[in-house]
Amino acid sequence: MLERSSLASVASLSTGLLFVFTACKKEPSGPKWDIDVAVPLIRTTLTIADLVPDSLLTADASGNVSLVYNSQLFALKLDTILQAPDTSFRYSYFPDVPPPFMLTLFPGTNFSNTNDVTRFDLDQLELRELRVRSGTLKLEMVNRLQTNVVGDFGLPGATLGGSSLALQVVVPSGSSAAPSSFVEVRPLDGYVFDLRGPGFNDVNTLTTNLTFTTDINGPTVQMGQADSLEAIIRYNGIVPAYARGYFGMREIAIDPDTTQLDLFENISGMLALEDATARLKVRNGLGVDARAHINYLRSVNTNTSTTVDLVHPITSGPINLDRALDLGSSFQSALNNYFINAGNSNIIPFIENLPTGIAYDLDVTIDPLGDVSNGNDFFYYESTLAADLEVEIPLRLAAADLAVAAITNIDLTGTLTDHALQGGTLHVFATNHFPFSATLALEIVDSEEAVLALLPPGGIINSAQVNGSGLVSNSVESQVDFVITKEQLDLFYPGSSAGPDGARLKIRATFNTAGQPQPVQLRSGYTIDIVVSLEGNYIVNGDE
Amino acid sequence: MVMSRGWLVVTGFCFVTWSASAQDPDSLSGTPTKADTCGIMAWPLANADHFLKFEAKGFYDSNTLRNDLVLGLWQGATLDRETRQRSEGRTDQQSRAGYTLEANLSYAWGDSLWGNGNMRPRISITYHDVMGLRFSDDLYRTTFFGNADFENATAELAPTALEQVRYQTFGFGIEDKETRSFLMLQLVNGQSLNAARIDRADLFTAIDGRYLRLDLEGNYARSDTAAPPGLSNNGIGAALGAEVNQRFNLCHREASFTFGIQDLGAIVWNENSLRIPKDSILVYEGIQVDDVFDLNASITGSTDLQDSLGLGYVRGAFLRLLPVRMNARVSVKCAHQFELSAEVDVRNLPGYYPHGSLGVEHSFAERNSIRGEVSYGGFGGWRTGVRYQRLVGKNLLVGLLAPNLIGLLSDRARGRALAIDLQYAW
Repeated sequence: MLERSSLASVASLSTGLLFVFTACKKEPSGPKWDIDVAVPLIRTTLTIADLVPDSLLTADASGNVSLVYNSQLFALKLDTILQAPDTSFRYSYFPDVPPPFMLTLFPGTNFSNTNDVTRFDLDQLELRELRVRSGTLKLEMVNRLQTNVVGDFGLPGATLGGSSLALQVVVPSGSSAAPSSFVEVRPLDGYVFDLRGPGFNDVNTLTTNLTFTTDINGPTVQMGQADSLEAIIRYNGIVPAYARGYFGMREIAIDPDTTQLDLFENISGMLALEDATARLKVRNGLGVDARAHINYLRSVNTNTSTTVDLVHPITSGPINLDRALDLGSSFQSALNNYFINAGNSNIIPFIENLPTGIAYDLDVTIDPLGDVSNGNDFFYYESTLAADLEVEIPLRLAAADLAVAAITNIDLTGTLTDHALQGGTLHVFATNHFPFSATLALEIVDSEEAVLALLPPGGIINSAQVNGSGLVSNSVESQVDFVITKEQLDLFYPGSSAGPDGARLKIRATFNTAGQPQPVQLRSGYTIDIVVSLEGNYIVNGDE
Repeated sequence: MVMSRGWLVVTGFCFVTWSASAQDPDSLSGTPTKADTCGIMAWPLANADHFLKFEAKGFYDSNTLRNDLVLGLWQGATLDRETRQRSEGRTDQQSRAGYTLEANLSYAWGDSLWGNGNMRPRISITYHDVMGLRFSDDLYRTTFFGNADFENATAELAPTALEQVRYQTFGFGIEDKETRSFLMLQLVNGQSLNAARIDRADLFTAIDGRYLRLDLEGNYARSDTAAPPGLSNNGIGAALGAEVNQRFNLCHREASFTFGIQDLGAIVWNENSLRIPKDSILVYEGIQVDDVFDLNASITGSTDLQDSLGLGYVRGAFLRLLPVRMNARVSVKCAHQFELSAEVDVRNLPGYYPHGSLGVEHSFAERNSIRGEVSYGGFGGWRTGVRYQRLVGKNLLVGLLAPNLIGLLSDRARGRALAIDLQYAW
């Protein structure tokens, strides 16, 4: 706070022309002596934007300020629910001859040609199309013949850039006792799976082609019942980039949770609002109709352990959510707005509770009316079902003992044993244009926020004068003093009794609006002009 | 009071001069001779063909600041309140302080120059580190006790002036072999400058220090601060140095007159030099911060503070006069190997008053002389000093001067000074 160069500069300026005497100084250690200074330290002008982040503020043409706060309650991604599980398929070939007969295979013999229809088990999903974001296909072939075998594997329904997936592998010769195997892993990123099967009228179905051929340069071999060939195909970690089909009527339970709010963090006291509105914005990025049951939407103040449940039609009955629009390679979310105001809800006590969090509990049912899209439900990897709560509070209010606290690190120069400032009195001069008073208190706290010292005496910055309309007519000047001793200053230094990092300063301001219980209007042009001066004892070169 | 004491000393000097003259019958026939003496002591080699002289002096004086305070400042000590109070000025006079650290080596040789048997060449090299300072009592009080005592009052920080300059001169010229009068042209290397002249600086401190208002008229100048330490070159200049020595009869007594001038010239400080000219009223209400909850990010250093007050530096070269010194001396030889002398000197440094001294010198045992003096002015007040000279062999003359005896011995006194000179002739 009292940064080295600034205070040193102030002291230098205020005490005249120190350089005249420091011209006599022998470097490097400077002489030390104490002086009693009376100097202004800082000046600042606080506006409503300094008390509340200006990104949260809006003002109308008259300068009347409203607070607009937006918080996301939840965001649900469907890929955690509509998953493609890891799936394996095994293909084996045995010669169609009884023992002890053997099948003679000449070099280059094509002895197995499989055209299979693979059907994926996808719970209640009936997918027609799947675009793979990531995942792999693992092909493992086992050979018990005493010649190399060439395996050709193909998925005509899986394409990447127009080309279907095809693999050719050579499996070295083996034996019944010591079969050989060959494994190849092929990434499926970007592949498009047509799951309609060979007739284009099915779901979750994929055609698979598999052919075995003996090595054209190999020997002629005999193949008996024990000399099987096997192919194992595994689809692993398939993450959909896009899926289309019918997702099935299903209920998705969203676990009760609480979204933290920082808007009223560290604020306590009584706040009386004249008006407040809110908008629940539900964005459905899924290509399915949905119906939500909001069991509760709750204002939770953990400081006072009080809760206020929102009472509004959205919490008393189901709300239907429109489906998103499929644009081919992207989507457009459906925005469902639900307006909450003082006329249709208890939004004002909901806000006046100064919530530190919004608790919610809801269930979502997708496709509540069945396959109304005729198998054209869809979702993209980026699709979410999200809900935001946007609150607008016109700052026409009455506040009683509304306390705000902030803790700031004090970066004093010097060390615990050698520092220039030895204590004194901080004077805070305020010219208040705000229609509320502020009682200021400064506390020295340790890292656990335990109060080590309260700087006396503190005091009140008086409210500006307010007219009958709740608007400021005249500013008012006030002075608040804080006495700090050397021992208290020592606490801010690392290694002091306050802890290894030193103490911090807690600034507490308690606001009371003028003319209570009548509300006052906060305007964007209101300010508090503050000058902080110090009367204290300062050791020249004391920080060295 | 000061004037009356001064007149008393002058009157006393005249009385002593008259008494000595009355008591020494030989003095009636005294006539000026060649400069084969050095002061009162005979030194046949004073006019030898080769004359090498080395002088070094460290003088510090003040009319208010006591030695314990100055030593504390110099040594970086902790200055207690009593020490600071002892050096507090009196309102009936301007407080002054300053120092001179100089070392000079000169050499004159030959028996003629350009066919003139009375002239010979002379060279010298001199290191100068001088500072002069005058300041108001209020400046002292605010500096050493703070401005809190001036709440709702005005501290008059002016008139105040400071000049601290380090430079070296390299001279060459001619010297009159007989009288040792000389004229030299000097090349000057400017090492550093720190100078301020403040004609008006009324500092008003509002109650509780709510604001400060400074009615300021003055200027500040300094040489390039980025220059490396040591004998750096931050300016260049030229100067003249001269001394005239003349013997004459005064009331039938052998007398001599000396007039000298040193460092009559100037330095052009280079383009990286800095100046602040200011004539305005500054109101300071603290550093403007944008976010009172994040002061470390808002508050900046002294440079920004200077700029916000409109005290930004102007960079550029400028010409500044050297701290020229002029001195005049009259001496009269008296009976019994005594010599009376009066000397006055002035120097172009803030706080340096005309410095006058009266001395009595006595030679004894042919090779020794001792001189006592009382002086007033310069940076200090009244002080007494002593000088001892001894001829070592026939070629070397050694002198030691302590112009402030009490100051040399006491931390409570004001001023401390010592000088040594070695003269070698062959």
